Amino acid sequence: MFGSQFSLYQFFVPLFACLMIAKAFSRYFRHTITVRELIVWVIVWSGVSFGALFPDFSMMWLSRLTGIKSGFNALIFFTLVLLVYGCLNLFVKLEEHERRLTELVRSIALKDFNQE
Amino acid sequence: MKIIIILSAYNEERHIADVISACQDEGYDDVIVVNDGSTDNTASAARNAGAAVISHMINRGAGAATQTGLEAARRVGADAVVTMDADGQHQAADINSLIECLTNKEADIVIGSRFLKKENPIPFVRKIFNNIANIITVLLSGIFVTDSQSGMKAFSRRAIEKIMITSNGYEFCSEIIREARHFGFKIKEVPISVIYSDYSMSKGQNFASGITTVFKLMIKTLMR
Repeated sequence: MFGSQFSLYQFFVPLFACLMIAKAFSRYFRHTITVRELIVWVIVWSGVSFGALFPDFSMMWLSRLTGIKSGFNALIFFTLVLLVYGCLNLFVKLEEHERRLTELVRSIALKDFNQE
Repeated sequence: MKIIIILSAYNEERHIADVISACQDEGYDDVIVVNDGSTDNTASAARNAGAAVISHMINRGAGAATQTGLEAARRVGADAVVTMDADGQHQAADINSLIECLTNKEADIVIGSRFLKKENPIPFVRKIFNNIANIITVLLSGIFVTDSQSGMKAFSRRAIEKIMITSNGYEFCSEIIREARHFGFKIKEVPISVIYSDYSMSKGQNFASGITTVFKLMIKTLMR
């Protein structure tokens, strides 16, 4: 299940994922991310760890799930979907920050206008 | 009837005084210039020409500046607002026909359409972008207009009180139409004249900003 032999990445990738999960919990307890975001991060990094620990099984499962015959192609497809989703999410968040900045600029401008 | 003219201006020191004078010549003395973070002398030129000036400390875009102007108009108790470009491409003489539609209760929002006047020498690229934007506006709002990206519009008091523009960039034009649909406002288009000079062409939407506008409109359509 671990593949023909245990590689170095199968140790370091889950270790890195554990650190990321710990960091996500830390951010959650400091109220900088929501519970929904915490769950997403835990699922994503757990998935990455699982994929690194059990590469053959993961590829086979992914290939069955998507119907794409090659597990590697399915992985690329999923990665692209995740990247597009991430970009859109970033865009929406950036727009929200832009909106807040505009509100601040506007309120200062109108305050000065009222005082004239 | 208290009518306020709103000019959103970014680095328009060369033309702003002429645009304000043209409005005053038509009998519209209440002009508010929203100086959108200009780095030149737009604000002082506008003040010297007799306009009230609201200054954004940094540039936020045409949509943000228009919303600031609408909020200012609301605070001073405007009965109607007309927005115009500050680069001199719109004609102050057209304000009358927009206001007439409001006073006759024909609409809550009147759009000055460049495409309803055949004589207007509109560049081909602008026609293409406008048609794409019109299609996206239909998807966004369900309302078809011939000039969804026109900067010349008139708003009734009812519309001034309700419309809230959240877009900073040029996509605000389509957002206004979506808002109109949301609040059940009547929209009417009237033909207006437009003058395209090298200057106004360099100031308005270019190919890159047109792509950005279309992209943002599409995202907003998909993720609303």
